[in-house]
Formats: sequence, C-alpha cells, structure tokens
Amino acid sequence: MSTTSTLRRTKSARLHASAWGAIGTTVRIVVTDAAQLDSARAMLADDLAILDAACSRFRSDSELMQLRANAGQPTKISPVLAGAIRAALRGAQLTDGDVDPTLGRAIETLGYDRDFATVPAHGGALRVTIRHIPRWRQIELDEAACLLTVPVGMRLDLGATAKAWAADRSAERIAEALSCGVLVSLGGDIAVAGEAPRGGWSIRVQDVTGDPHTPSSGPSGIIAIIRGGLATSSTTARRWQRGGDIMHHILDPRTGLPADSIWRTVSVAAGSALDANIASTAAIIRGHRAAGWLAKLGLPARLVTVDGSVTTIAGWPAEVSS
Amino acid sequence: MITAPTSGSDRQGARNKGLARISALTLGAGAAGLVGAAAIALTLPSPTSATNANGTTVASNTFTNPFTNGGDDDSGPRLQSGTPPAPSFLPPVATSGAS
Repeated sequence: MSTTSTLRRTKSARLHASAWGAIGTTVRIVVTDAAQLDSARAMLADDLAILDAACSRFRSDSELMQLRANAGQPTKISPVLAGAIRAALRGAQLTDGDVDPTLGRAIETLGYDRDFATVPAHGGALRVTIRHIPRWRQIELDEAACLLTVPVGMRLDLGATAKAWAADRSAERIAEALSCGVLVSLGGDIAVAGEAPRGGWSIRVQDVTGDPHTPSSGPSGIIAIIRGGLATSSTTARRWQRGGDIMHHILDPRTGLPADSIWRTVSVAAGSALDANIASTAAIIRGHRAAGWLAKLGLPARLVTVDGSVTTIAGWPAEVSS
Repeated sequence: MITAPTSGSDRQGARNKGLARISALTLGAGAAGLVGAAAIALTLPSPTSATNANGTTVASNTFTNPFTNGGDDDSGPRLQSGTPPAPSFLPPVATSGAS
C-alpha cells in the first residue's frame, strides 16, 4: 500500500510526499516540485529494487547470500554491493568496530533470520556463545575492481548502514536529475539534497518511525535540516523474545548480544545520512561514553535514556513539542 | 592509526562482561525456573577458542584505509558534521526513529 499527499505548510511552499513499504521498512520521499513527484518515486523504487537484490540477507538470490558459496575466495560483485560494503567498513573503522558488519551469524542465532515481519515474537530459550566479533578487518574489498573476499564462516549484515547509504545516494541522484529539493527517508534514515524548502526540511524525531501526521506516543521533538542527513537508532523497535529475554536488533560486537545501553533512542544530524547512522548506532553501543564522543566530534545529537529523559548536545536545538 | 582488533585486555573485558551477564541471567533463570520458564543459556568459549574465534591475525587487506581510529583519536578523517539542525515550528514532513 502506498500513499501520496501534498503537505500544507504555513510558512513556506507546499511539499509533496509519497510513502510505501520496501526493503522491509517504510519508504518516504518528499519533493519541492509536485510535477516531479512521480518521477522521483519511480527513481527511488528502482534504486531500492537494485539495493535489495544486492544486499538483502533475506533473499536466497541476493548477491550477499550468493557470496556464501564463494567464501574465502575473491568474488566479483556489483558496484552497488561494493559501495554498500565500503559504507559498512567506514562505519566499522570510524567507530573502532562498534558498528560491525560481520554480525550476521550472531543476529541469525538470536532469531532474526528472516524479514522482521515474519520473525516470531516469542520463542524458546537460546544457547549462545558470548564472543568478541570484530572480524571486519578480515574483509578484503577492492572497490575499484569490485572484488570482495569474505572469510569462510563469516556472514555479513549490512542492515546498520546500507539504508542510510542508499538514502544519501538516491537523494543526490534524484535531486540532480530532477532539479528539485528531495528528502528520502528509509525507515527514518533521512537524506536531503537539492534546494531545501524555506524553513528547511521539518522532521520529527521520535522512538519509532511513523506517519508525520500521527503524533508520537513517546518523547519527540521537531527540528529542521537543510542539507546532509539525520538518523535515529533505537532499541524500541524490532524487538522479540526468546526464552523470556527481550531481544533487539542493535548488537554489541563485544558479545554478539543485544546492546545493553543506557540509551533507548539516539538521533544524530551529520553531513550525510550514513555518518549520522554510524554515529547514532555507535552511540547506542557506547552507552555512557556516547555523549562525550559525539560532542567531541561536533555531531549534534539527541539522546533519550531508557526512562525517557532527553539530553541534547553539540548544537541540537531545544525541543519544540509536536 | 588502527589498533589491533582484539587486544588481550579487550578480550578479557568482553569475557568479564560476559561473565557479568551470565551472573545476572543465571539469577534471572533461577527465578524464572520457579514458574517453569527458561532464560537464555550462555556459554563462554575457552580462552583458546576465543582467540581463534576472534581472529587476531589480520588478513592482508586490499581495502585502503582512508579513515582513522574512530575512538578518541583526534587526527585524520572522521564522521562528517553538517549544518546543525534548527528548531522548527512547521508541520513535520517526515519522522526519524527506529524502524
């Protein structure tokens, strides 16, 4: 199901939006020119179909899954998969491995081994081995030649960075091709490109991505960005239970288990959606150290504790209630 | 500068954290056992197998590292900051949260 709407704004020109489901999440595109909405939507849908065919770990025919047959051997891959893996390695390297793309086997072991919509909400107890999983340095990528070597036994999960990287890529491509302002949101990883509307792109940050017309049930705030990206990571979504223990999708590479963080939600604004996503995901993993780390990097951020208390740093504005 | 992926202290820290988790979960399992529920059963690899699993040998990497340590190192490229967000009183056109 998809929706298309014209968004009335009281202090600026109207914006035009379309939303639908793809790649296991909610997709939303907003443009400044109504005449370009259909074309923009079609371009984004094409990009996501290519992304899914390259990076999905839930499709047996995806390039990512096909890599398993060639484990340990240099394998020719598409530029899209090469770009997505490079984005994932950027995340690992800039966070000292806190955002790690080699957690595929760990997340499968915990029960998230299929499209999340079909993951059973409850299940029996699990037997897991706690192990440090910083194996990302063993990935060999020659991006220019599109050659990738993944060690035997390693399973990649690009979910932490691929959506944000794709949002950046599509927003830039669509804005350039259609000469209008564009916002692309892939499950709340948001990239903007082209000329921003007057007043900027107004975005509500909240625990779980939803319809902007529907108020958030938890703490939220509205901010505007004019370029770059915004991402939110949270332990409040994609949760399930095994043996009475609550699981979520943000794993700590030091243990291979769901991160036990003081933060339930972290939003970061950065020069790109990818860097915003890397920072917000790492912040969940880093816990107490996150605020100081983000401040030192000058990345505006909003951090919400498990009990709902909000901390803003590095220029993130005071909140305006939605 | 890139540090070794798994120093001995890192591994020990991870094991300690694992042990702490096990202690907590063991208590939980005991309580849960009274009502017939089972918590996650955890096992730790032996130091030898942990070393193997951690793969301390770094493969020769054709991926050229353009980035620096993302921890507390001040030098080199880092996550890129952009124009800070501004307060907005306009209706939101999108939301950012987990999905």
